[in-house]
Amino acid sequence: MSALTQLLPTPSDRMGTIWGLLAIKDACILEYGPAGTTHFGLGPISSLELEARGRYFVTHLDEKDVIMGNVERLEKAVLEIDTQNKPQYIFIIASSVTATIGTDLVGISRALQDRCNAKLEVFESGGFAGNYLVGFEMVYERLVHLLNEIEIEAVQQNPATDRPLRYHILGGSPDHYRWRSDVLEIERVFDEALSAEVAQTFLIDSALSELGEIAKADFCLLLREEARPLAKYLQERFEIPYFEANFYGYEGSLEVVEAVAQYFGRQICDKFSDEIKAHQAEIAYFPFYARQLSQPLRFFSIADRDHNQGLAQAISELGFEFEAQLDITAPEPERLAALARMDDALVFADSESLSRLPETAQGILISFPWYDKSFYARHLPFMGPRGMDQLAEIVHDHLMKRP
Amino acid sequence: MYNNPYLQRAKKLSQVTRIEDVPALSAANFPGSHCPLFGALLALRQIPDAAFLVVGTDECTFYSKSMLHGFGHRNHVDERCFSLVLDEKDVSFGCRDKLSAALHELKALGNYPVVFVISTCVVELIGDDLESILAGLEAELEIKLPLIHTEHFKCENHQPGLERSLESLCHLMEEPEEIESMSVNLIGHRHGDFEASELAAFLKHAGIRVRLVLPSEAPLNELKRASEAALNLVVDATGLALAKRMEERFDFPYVYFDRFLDPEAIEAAYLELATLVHPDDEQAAESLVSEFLAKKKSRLQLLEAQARERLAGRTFIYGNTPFMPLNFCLYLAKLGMIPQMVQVRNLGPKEAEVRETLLTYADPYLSKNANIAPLQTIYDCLKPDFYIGHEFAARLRKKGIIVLACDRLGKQFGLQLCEGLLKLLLDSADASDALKAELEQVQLKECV
Repeated sequence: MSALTQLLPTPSDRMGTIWGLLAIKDACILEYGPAGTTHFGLGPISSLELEARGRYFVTHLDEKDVIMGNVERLEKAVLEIDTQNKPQYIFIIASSVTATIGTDLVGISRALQDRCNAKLEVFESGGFAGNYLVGFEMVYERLVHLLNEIEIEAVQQNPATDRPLRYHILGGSPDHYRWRSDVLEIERVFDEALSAEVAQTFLIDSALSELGEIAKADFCLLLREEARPLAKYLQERFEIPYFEANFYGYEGSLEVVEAVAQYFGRQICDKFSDEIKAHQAEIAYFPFYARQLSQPLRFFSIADRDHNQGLAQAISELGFEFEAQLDITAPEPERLAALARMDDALVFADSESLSRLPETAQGILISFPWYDKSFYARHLPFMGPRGMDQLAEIVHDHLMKRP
Repeated sequence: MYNNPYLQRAKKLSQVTRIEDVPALSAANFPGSHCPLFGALLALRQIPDAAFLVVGTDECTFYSKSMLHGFGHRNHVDERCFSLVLDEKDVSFGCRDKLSAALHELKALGNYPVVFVISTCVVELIGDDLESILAGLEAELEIKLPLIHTEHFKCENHQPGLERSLESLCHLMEEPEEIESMSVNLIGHRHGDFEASELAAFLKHAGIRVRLVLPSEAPLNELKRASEAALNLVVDATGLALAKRMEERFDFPYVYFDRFLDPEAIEAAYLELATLVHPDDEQAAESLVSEFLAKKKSRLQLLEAQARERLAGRTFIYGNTPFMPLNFCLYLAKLGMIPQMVQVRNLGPKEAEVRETLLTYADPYLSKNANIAPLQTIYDCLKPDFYIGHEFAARLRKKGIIVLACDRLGKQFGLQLCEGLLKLLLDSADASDALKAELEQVQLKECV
């Protein structure tokens, strides 16, 4: 196995935890460790469009703190944040340094709790528990833990058919490329097809202050595997069902809508169904175009598991399939070897992978990490029917360039 | 005493002699200081034909590589940055074997004559003897492996990273074959075009050539011959460690000529340089300098007189500039301005000299920098006329405070720098008066 890493290392669970918490609008985070990782981390935080000001802090550490196990800085910082900022929760995150020296953050926070109004929650792994997707999952699991401690009135299920359905979207993780466009597309589809309204989205744009309202939903859409703990919890505690939403492609999107409609005995709006059918008719000719080519089209993707599945769905509706789909956390030798053989292919991947493609390949940015990117458009999804429109155009344009 | 929790936490200059005694304004900081790893990458990124191996957790290595990518593909520096990612096992059992394997792979990958090995917090914590590991590997692989330690829990900010990176370049230098007598190496310059500075003009005037600039895009074969200049001209405190190392190794002299805001110190530094031209003739050296500075001195004296009149009594908070904070504040205090608070990242030996003199003019609050949230309430207590550094100008205008960003002065040296600063201050005084008049009008209208 290679010891050297040439590409961007996979971010750690600790980074995923911080990003996941920052996606929650009112989460307050205190890092216990040297300040460098906080300041350094602001670059990726900004590129992920996460807002840190006023709720993200660091204690810094000196040699004495490390050698003597002096936790005074941590205690003062917690009490200061509690007094000045008055958050509902303070999430205390260990750094790799404090995790290595074995600082007992759980014990310290227990000792401090009586002096704090904010509830203290600790993440101790220090970055040694896995990759950033593990970090996202830790945040979802922590939400489950927090919900367990809140008294929430259950809402009567089986709503009458004249009341609009309400739903949560689970799986809006910070590494989701073009999240704002995708979530608006999901909302549009469910509004048009079933007059359903979104209640809350997790993690992006969620709020701890709104956790008390979480039972006020009829179902959940589960977009990412990391969010499953929350989905299962809501089902178990409040009998809120969840639907695994591979929300790509015309057929893929329609299947999700149909599953929800069938469950609740609702009728899908005809206009929506007709539009889907019309789009499906438009793309029916893709296999015919492909047969005119001298070489078959090649497709690859490098993304997280759920995006890969979604893209596979979308491409299959055009009559194609991926030659290979790598996970974003795949070992580097595997990724480098795969990139080297992507000649003439259409590749959906992250910025770094795309920068290493053979010259004859065409790259489409679809996953994290991305470089030099700001998101202004809210109308360019990859999910849903409109996402499929875009994907169909991309494939069509690629197809037309092939001999 | 102000009824402000952050000011109550801050100390006055009279209570502090070392950076360790300077508190942060709050226990919870944002964004916090940059770490020495950042400083190391800043210093080394320009070197065109070396590779970098960052040894640390996935977090440190991720930030390093993405930072270098952020500098664009200049010199393809991001492609020359490699990572040795340590996991829990490496932390428990040490990283010797993995480091050796990684360097062997790097050697096979590319023809890099030098690989800068940059260690990070966790590596320093577990205490692997990287010096000996790398000494053995250097011999085996026949490539230079300068080591830079960057552990943020042993220092306050990124400056040690800059210093140690520059110092590590001594490892690449060779014994001189022939000394070029009228030449200098410029050490530590990192703020824009040196050629436009008064110091560059003096060197030209004196017939002294700048042989090598560090850090810069100087290739490694030029670096090797750094000891063939006559002396090191150190223009930033971060270059002093390298200068002292070269003095130790090659008996190589240096002159320290920082961005002093002190006409006497500036003249003394010019005089030291002039002895290169006239090593045995003190009078000729003095004439060289006085001839060069004559008109500049008169101009400066006129400006200082003007400044004393316009600026006396005006207050300021010092945030962040390319200069030495206490040296900066003393210059302004001598003109009658009042420093209310000074944010510092270091209190080096030169600053210590200035401290006592500054205390005869003022006793400002002192705090560590890189912590902006607490300042917002402090502005309302101290009500300074100016904030000197980086801040949100529009937000501070509403409080009647003018923000002066001094970055563009960073490429200036000598009396030119004093002049540039005074002109900036005089313009800002006009702006401050206009702002106060405007806010008064607004208040009057609100009363009516």
